[in-house]
Amino acid sequence: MPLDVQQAWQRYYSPVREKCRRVLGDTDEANDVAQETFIRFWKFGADDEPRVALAWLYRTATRIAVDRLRQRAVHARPVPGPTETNDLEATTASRQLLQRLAKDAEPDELQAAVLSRIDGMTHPEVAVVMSISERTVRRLLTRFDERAR
Amino acid sequence: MTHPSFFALDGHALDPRSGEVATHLATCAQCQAHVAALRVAAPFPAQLASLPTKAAPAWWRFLALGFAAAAILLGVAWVSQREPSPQFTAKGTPTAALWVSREGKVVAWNGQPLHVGDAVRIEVAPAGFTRVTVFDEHTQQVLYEAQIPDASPTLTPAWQFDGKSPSESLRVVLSREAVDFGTPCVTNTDSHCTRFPLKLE
Repeated sequence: MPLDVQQAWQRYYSPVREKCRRVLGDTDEANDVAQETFIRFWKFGADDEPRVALAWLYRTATRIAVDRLRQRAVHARPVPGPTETNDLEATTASRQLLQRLAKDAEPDELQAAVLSRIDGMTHPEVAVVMSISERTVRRLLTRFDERAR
Repeated sequence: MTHPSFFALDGHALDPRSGEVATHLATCAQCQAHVAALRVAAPFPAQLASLPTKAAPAWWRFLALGFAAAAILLGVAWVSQREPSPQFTAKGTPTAALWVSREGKVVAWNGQPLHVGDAVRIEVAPAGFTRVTVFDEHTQQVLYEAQIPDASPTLTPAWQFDGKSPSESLRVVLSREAVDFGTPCVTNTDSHCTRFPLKLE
């Protein structure tokens, strides 16, 4: 039975919000991106199967969050530090690296880096979420790492 | 200890299954805390209650797609029998619409004056354009710029009308290249420009 909007919110908003916090660091901005993702999900996404819906949400939230990182880079806005006490040091370091490269790296490189380095996803998981091959995932991450050197 | 990805943990929280993730979760306090945090429901924003009902279920969409495909084939057959036209057909129409949120209710802006505290948000249908840029015409500042993923309809962030100025004017430009405020506000094959002159009641 299809979910109504409130049931969909209760099921999917929290994981999207947490993901956006990990990527952006800024809680208000994360809430904003998570809400935008949810609205798009409600209008255009499929919710027939929770794991399919989750992949759609991760893909869309990553794209919007990467746009935000690139805007920050254009407008030279400061990179937020850890948002929560349990925000891992490695996550903060990855976020700062992403922010540093946001202006020059291609959006798909940044998206792959977000999913792999911040969300901790395996290459097959990144491939599913981005709807690309594992080979392309490896190529994008290699290019990203070359920029980071 | 190697942890499952957040994606795997989130998937397990939504749809628990036995396997590596479940085994790991049984012994890892850090991952248990992540999954527990997801179960804390976020308050539902009242303004989202006005979102239209979700599209029909999948089987109905497939049926609709079948009808649409048949209609397209009939259309192509009919058009191919006509004399060729010298004109190009339009690839959809780019549009920008402004939504106003007031006391939790969202309505389309049709020129009505705004109240202090109203929040506005712009939705664009790019129709082939790949970037959206929003300018404040008074300060000439860029309020928002972004690539449009998949050429799909896109919502900007919300801006709240603080009432410091009796009027505001937003300029929304759809384009393929980056634009600045000095770029003329025109609609042609390179850009689509819309102005929203907002006034305070």
